[in-house]
Amino acid sequence: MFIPGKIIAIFTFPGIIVHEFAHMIFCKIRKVAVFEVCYFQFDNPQGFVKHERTDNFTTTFLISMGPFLVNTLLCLLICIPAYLPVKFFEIDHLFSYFLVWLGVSIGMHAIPSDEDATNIFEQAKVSVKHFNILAIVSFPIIGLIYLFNALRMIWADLFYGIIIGLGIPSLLFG
Amino acid sequence: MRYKKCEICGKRAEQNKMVIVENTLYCIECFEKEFEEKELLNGKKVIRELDPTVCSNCNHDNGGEELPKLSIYPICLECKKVIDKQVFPDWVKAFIAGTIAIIIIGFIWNLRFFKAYEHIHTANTNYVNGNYENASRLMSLAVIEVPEVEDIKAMAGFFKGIDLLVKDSCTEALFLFEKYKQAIPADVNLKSFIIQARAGSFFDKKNYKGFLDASNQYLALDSTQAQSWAGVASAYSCLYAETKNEEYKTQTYTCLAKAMSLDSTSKQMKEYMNLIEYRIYSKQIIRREQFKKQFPTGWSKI
Repeated sequence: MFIPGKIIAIFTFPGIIVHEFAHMIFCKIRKVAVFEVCYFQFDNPQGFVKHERTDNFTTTFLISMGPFLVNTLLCLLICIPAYLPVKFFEIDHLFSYFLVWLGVSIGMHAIPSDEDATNIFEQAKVSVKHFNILAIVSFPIIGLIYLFNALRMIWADLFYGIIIGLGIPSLLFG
Repeated sequence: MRYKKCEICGKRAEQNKMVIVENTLYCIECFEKEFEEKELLNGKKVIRELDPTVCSNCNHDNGGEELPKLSIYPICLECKKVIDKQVFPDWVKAFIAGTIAIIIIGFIWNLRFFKAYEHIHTANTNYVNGNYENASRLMSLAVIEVPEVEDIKAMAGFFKGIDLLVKDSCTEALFLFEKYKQAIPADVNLKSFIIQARAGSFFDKKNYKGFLDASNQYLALDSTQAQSWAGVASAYSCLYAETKNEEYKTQTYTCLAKAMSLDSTSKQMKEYMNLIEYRIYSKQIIRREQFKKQFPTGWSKI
């Protein structure tokens, strides 16, 4: 089913905000100057972070992959408390469903964008010549990011959010 | 604003308008003239000079005083405030704080479910290990945490029933099994426990015909266990003790022989068979605990 990106953005806006926040926070951690941030907008892209260029591959990798770490972790932390009442004890409660919506919305936006992948790719090409292990490892990751983003049209992002938010708790709690 | 001397033409120029190429300082004019073809810069280290007294964002000249830096860029306080506010605005701070608060509230709000889950998990482990008293106690604690879940109530009732059954309080156990039998999952094999409880309950009420019927039902469920045959033997022995009918005595020994052919070595079976033999010999029907108390090392014909 095709649903315009703007509609998805409205329903999953917390994920977009957290995604950009993750980029921004990794810029701060790696002491990279941030010049402009848009945490949410209806236009494409729905958010962005403009920051100083860096030649340090680890820094680029962390800034680009930041949302993957932060969104995934938050998705899990938000959904775990809701999983037990909803799935294990089968108790319907509005707050639990709110947590599931919030967690899955955040999880849906965990995967870095194609632009993030391109940023890593451009620097990985240089860093790999210096036998940077992280750069070598990053190539398959970049491939997966491109693949995942291509699969967004068949709701790969929603499935990811559900797998993290509900699948992992189901493995933990049965 | 600071000025530096171009190492090529010797002219003084604004520091912000100078470039270092391989440790040589160029003014913009000399740089553009020298490197008109961009390929000439290939492999060379090029650094744009930054005047630490001029704001990189708004070009505010701070005189001779150096400005604080954003990364490597000198930024005036006004611009820093604007950028800080723009890159991390109050509403985003509130949103992130709110999200963290929701996570904490989520865990606190649902803490009782975590506690209940832990009790259920430990109760199940205890049940599997045969510690029925603990299993029952923990499942009851889970019910206190999630009183609205009927399935957990039923499982607590079931565990309590098993605990009572093991302690020979069969009538109470039967009451609990009957009460919760609709809600207890099929895989716990409740039917066999109900038959066992019924048999025990008939024994308690001295209804030995009923005891025999229930024991035979249990045997029909599983005739591969020594316990099943011993149960029928016990029922016949009770009937013999009550009626002195030799037919019951014969049936008792037939069933005992079957039971012994399946298990004649386990402590539990040895004790049970010893009790039955005592019953046949003395024609007295006493409970297992009473028998153990009376004959702590077992009974034997003198």
